Amino acid sequence: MRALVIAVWIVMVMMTGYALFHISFQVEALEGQLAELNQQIRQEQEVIHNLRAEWAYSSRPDWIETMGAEFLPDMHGVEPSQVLRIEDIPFRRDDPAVPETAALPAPSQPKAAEAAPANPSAKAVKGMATPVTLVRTQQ
Amino acid sequence: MIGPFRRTRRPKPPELYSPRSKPGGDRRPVLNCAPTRTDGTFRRAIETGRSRLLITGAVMSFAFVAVGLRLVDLAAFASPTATSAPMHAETAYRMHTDRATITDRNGVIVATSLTTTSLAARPDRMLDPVDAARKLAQVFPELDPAELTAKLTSGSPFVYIHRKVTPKMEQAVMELGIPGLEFERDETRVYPHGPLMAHVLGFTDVDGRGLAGIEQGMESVLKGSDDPLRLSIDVRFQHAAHQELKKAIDTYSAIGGAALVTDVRTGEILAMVSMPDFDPNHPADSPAVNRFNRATFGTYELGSTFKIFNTAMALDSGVTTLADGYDASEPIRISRFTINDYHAKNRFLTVPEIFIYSSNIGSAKMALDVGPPAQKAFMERLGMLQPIALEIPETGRPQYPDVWAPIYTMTISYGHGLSVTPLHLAEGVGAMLNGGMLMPATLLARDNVPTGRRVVSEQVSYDMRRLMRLNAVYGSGKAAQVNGLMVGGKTGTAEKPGGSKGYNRRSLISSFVAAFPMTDPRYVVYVVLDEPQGTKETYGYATGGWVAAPAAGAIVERIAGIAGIAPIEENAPEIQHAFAIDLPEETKKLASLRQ
Repeated sequence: MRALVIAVWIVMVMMTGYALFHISFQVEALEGQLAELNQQIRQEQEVIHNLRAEWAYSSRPDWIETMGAEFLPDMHGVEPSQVLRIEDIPFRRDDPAVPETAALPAPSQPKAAEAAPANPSAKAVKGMATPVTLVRTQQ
Repeated sequence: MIGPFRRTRRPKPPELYSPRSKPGGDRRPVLNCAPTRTDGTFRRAIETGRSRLLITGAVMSFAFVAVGLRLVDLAAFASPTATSAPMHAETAYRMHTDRATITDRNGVIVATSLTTTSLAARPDRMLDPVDAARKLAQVFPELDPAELTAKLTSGSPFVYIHRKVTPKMEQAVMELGIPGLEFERDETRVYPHGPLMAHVLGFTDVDGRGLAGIEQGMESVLKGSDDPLRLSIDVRFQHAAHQELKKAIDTYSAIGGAALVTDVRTGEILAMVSMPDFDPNHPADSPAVNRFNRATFGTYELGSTFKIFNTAMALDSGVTTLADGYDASEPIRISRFTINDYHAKNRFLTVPEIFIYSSNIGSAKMALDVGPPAQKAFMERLGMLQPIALEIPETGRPQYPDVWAPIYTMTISYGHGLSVTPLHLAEGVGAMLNGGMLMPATLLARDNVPTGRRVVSEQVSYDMRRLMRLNAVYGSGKAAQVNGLMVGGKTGTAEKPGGSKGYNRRSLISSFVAAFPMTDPRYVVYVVLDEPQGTKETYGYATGGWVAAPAAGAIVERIAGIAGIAPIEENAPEIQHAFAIDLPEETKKLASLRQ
């Protein structure tokens, strides 16, 4: 009986010891991994930081303007008449007989009409040059 | 472990008879111990041996327990590699720079610190400084070998050879294999937008100390935090103001100028440009005079734009109304001075006419009606007599007469005799238009808008909107008109001090202050040109209406598009009605009037 108890104790101690060391080594390995990851994060953050500065430099307004003039010659600054307040846009009518464009307020209409024929090259950037820019105003 | 010792320590007394002997049998004594004579000695020897064993065992087991505990401690509790806090996941790593980043109101980076490498030398550890200097000069062609030799042989224990070394150069220096060279990681301040915000941001020295602008004014905040500092400036507004001001300065060959865009509701400065400017990345490349901030530090007699304040003051004090008028038929002669009108009408003018014709005579009479003490108190209330508490150190102190005599009251009514910075004027005009509250100007984004200080009544503020709008329609501000934005404005043309009569007719400070939309003003745009020259297109005129108003109008148009200000139907009956001011027929027909 006594021998059995001792044997059980020894086995338990060995198991606990094994578990303890196993976990300990695991933790150590994970900590090493963590340190590596943290190091990586640090490097990534430094790179992101530098890229942010780079982005600010590449997106500075005068540069964008230069590029815009070169590659988007038909685009121009937003004119006051192109801005509408969101409240000024009427709700869509359910009546299918009424064309959708008729729902747009009158002032923008002649603008769109005269812009299209007068500037045939605008077709190149057709998808981008929307005649009416809807901007939610802060009023 | 303790049991066996205990058992051996107390041995059973020796048995005299064998337990196996049967009762009643042979009772021979069993001799299982030493003879009685030697028994004591033997026992003592055994006792000594046992106690020695015990002590040794105790020491050994203590040592093993200690080693075991230490093992457990090392394995389970303290890993030798886990020495620093960032090892643990809960302390997420955050990048740290010595100086915080500065962004505009939309989060666009306008100043940040980047890690760079510097090359330094410890000459005392060098084998041959002269040879080292020669080799280094080959890697860095911009360094002068003689100068470098002098540096390395000067006896100084530590000298910087080159700041901001590129990785390529770093490699080249490593390959030279010179002992005594050291690479140091340090930070360089970078301004991605270059000169765009030069006077707002200022710059830092090589050691990262702010020497001007926000960099100096907010030094402790920038040093003490990793969070970006958010300015009130909008880079897009700043760019529009910068470009249009530069255009105007180039066109009219002005020696300098300033442009400001402020939010009348919050007092935030959205754009602040002073020209000529410099690149904060390389401040030493521009002449020192370029660092002079004309927008907040330079004080000028700003001329007729002051009539905005003068008219508001007169209306607010109740000495006159929009329906009243003054006789402007004769120049005013006071002691040795004569006050004339530039666009002399030589007749009785109503208050709105005085404003749109920019009549000095009428304004002077209006100011005299209010009186010098009340005028001084009004200017004090409007902040025109103290420097503006801005976040940059470059703030100019207004100059005003010690004794506020009536002659000064008259000249100050049309903007002479009181020198203020352009920012003072923009701040004051904002207060005239936003309902009468003076909002302290700031360069930092404002989330909580302060209540401000009342300077004129709401009714007067409403009247000033109408007057400035009228001036832009019929008066001198036509060039700043943008259809659909209800721009209002006032020109100012002041002669600079100097010349024979105390003022120089040739060197002018021409300015234009615009605000829009007048139905509910949002932004004040102020453009000042220092000594502009007339061109053929302006018929030689260099007055505010000819040179500054078009620039202000261009800025208004550009920023309205960015800010998304909805256009207003200017001819709508309710707008016409709200802004109607009765004018004589003659005034309405006047073709061109730009001062």
